[in-house]
Amino acid sequence: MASKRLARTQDPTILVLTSLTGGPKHGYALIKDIEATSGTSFGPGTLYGVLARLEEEGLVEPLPEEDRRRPYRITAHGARVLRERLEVTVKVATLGLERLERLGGLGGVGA
Amino acid sequence: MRPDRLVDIALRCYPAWWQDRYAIEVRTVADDLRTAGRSSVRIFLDLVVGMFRVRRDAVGMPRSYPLWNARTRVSVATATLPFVLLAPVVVACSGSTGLRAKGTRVVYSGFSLFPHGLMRFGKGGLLPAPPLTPAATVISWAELAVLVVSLLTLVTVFYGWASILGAVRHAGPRPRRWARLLAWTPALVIVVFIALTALATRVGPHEWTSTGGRPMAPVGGTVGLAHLLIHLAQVVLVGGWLLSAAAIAAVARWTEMTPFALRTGTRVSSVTAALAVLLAAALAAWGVGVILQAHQAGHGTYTVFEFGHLSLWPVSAAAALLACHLSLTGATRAHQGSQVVAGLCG
Repeated sequence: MASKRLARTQDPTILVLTSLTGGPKHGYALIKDIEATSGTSFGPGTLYGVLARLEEEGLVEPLPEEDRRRPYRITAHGARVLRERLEVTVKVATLGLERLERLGGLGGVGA
Repeated sequence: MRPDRLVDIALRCYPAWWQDRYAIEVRTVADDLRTAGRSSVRIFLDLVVGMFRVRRDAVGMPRSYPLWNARTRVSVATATLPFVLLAPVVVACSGSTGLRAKGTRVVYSGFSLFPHGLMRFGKGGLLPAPPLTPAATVISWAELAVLVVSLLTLVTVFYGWASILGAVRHAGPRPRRWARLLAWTPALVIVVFIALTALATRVGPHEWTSTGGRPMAPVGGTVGLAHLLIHLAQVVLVGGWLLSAAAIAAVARWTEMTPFALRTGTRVSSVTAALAVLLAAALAAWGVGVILQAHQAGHGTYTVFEFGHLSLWPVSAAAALLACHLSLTGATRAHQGSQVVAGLCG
C-alpha cells in the first residue's frame, strides 16, 4: 500500500512544467504527454488546478485560444524555477542511489 | 443522464470567476478525454475534487475588491457558523448531568461551579457522600471548561452580531431592505422567548403545596397551558438560535462590508476558532473521564457522574472536531482575505 503511494507521489507542478518544456500545449495534449512520459493520469479538474497555480505564480502563460483549446507555454521564470527544482531532485536521486548501492553491498537491507 | 450533463453539473459548481476563465477549455478537455475512452464518472469526480480545491484555495482568483470581499465574508461565516450550530448539541449534552453514590442522588450545598461538600440522601436525611473518583474530578473540570467556553462563545457571537448590525448600516453598495430586517432576527427571537416565558409564569400555578405526604400539587393557574408555553419557548430558543445563524449568514453573504467591518469579522472568527479548539479539548477530556470513572468506581466507594444524554457525547465530540477544522481553516482564510482587501483599498 505504502509502496504504491510512494510510486504515485510525483509533483504535478514538475510534471506539467516538464511537459511544457517540449513546447506549448493545450489541456488535452498536456494530459496525454504526461501520461506517456510518467504514467500519471491527470483529470481536467486536477490539471486546471495546477495550471491556475502556475499561471498565478507567473511560471506559465496562456496563448491565444485556438478552436476552444488554449495552449500554455512555460515562461523564462518558469524554466528557471523548473531547472532549480530538477537539479535538487537529481542531487537527491543520485545520493539516494549511491547510498542504496552501499547498503546493498554491506548486506544492511532488512527483510 | 447523458454523460456530458455530469460535466456540466460539475462545472456549474465552480465559482463564477473560474467559469468565466476556464469553463470552455475544461469542457473541451473533458469531451476529448471521453472521446479517448475515459469514463464520464471519473472525469466528473475529478472535477468535483478540483471544485472543492478551487473554492478552498481560490487559486487564480482575480485581485478584485468585490470578489475578495465576498470570499472573506464567506470565510468568516465558515469559521463561525459550525461552532454556533454545534452549541445546542453541547448544551443538551452537558446540561443533563447529575451525581450519584451508593444508588442515591448526591447534592452539594451552596452556589459553586465545582462539586464540593457532597451530601447524599439517606435514611436519616442528608448524609456525607463519598468523594468523587479521580476521573469524575476530571469530568468536573471539563464541564467547567465547557461552561466557560460556551459563555465566551455567546459573548463573541453577540459581539459579532452587533458588528454586523453596524456594518449593514454602513455597507458598501446600499444593502437591500430585507438584509437590514434579517439582521434583527436574533433580537426578535430573544423578545419572543422572553414573552413566552413571562406568559408561562403568569398563567402557571401561583404556588405548589403538599399535604399529608402526598406529591406536590399546583394551586391556581392553568398547568397545561403553562407547560405548553414553556415547551414552545424552548422550541423558539433552539429553532430561533439556528434561524438567527442562518439569517446572519445570509446577511453577511449578500451585504458588501467595509474593510473595517471585515477586520472585525476576522477577529471574531479567530476567537471562535480558538474557542472551538478549547471546546474540542474539553469534550475529549470529558469523554476520557467518562470511560475511566466506570473502572475507578468499581474499585471503591466513590461518587460518580451520571448523564442523561450520554449517547450524545460521541456526536458532540465528532461535531466539535469538524467544527474545529472548519473554524481554523475559515479563520486562516478570513485573515488572508482581510489582508488582500486592505491591500486592494490601498
